[in-house]
Amino acid sequence: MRAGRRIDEADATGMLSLVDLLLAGTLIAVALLTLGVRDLFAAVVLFISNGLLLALAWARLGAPDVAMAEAAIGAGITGALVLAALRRLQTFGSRGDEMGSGGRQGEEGHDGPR
Amino acid sequence: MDLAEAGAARPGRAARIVLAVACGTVAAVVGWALASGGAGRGRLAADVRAALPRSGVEHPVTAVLLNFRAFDTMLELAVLLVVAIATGAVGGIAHSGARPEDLRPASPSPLMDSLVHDLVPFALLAGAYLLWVGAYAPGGAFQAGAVIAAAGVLAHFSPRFRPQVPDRWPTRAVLALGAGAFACAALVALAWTGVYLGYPPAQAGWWILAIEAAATLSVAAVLYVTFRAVMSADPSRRGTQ
Repeated sequence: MRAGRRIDEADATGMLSLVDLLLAGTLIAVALLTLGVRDLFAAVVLFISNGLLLALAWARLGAPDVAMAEAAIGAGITGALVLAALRRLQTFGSRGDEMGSGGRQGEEGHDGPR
Repeated sequence: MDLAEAGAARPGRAARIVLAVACGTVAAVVGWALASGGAGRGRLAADVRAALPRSGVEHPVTAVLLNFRAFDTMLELAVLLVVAIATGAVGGIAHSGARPEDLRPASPSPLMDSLVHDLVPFALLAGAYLLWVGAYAPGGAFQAGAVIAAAGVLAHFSPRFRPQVPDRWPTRAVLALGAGAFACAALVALAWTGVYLGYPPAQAGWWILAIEAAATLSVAAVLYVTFRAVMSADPSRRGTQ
């Protein structure tokens, strides 16, 4: 909603570019994918990607303060929190069996390089 | 993943319809609010520009967050403090240091050690820079705190450099520092100038820097400690989440 309105304003000043349209379209597509995908880890990765795209959108809208906060908190810290929560869920879901430790180590392998 | 099915029960048809109506209503109201053009949008920007010289900083966003609307920012810090308490972080700190779960190497990789060793100092430096530059350009306490917390999260995955969270009181003090410094500044300003959170304009820049420094530490501590609380799978706290 808000992005659409701002893009209209940008259009009025002749600032709307193909990049902005692509960015807005990708944002909506990634948001839908995030909600629709069944694999929880993929959903988390898509959520983090969505946060980074949203940071780009804020930067394009001329709000670098919000863009930085979105990239650092929305994508970075929230992403780490959600990954940690997912790892915890998987530890509960398969407590005691082989998959618990395997899933956890895989999770941290994914966490690490981010 | 089977977790999605085994986890929370999927909402029924009626619940979905209620959710859809609620979401649609919110979207319609937000759209209407935007379409009707936020009242006084241009006037507020002009007011901020006019008052900027008396705010103590040169960046309008920081001026609004730390001076003109400082009360809102103080409440945000209080909310963060509540988050840290709600995640059980405050209660769990005392045990978290010595749990075998935590001492177990997270990912015994020399690559991770080297990455943390090289990257974390720069992340801390970037956080300090963001705090300082907030007076002149985009930046400020929340961004700086988030970057520092991200450095902590990164270091968490390296057994050699995992941050040590000290026992209860020092950590609790840092968690409460931001909201506390804000509240103290508000009361001191009240006694000094007679206005709640009304800093004396001549020294406002230093007041803001001091409050932001405290807020940065608190934001970083809250975010990292919350992450740590979610990350640690302590059986004794499983019922409390």
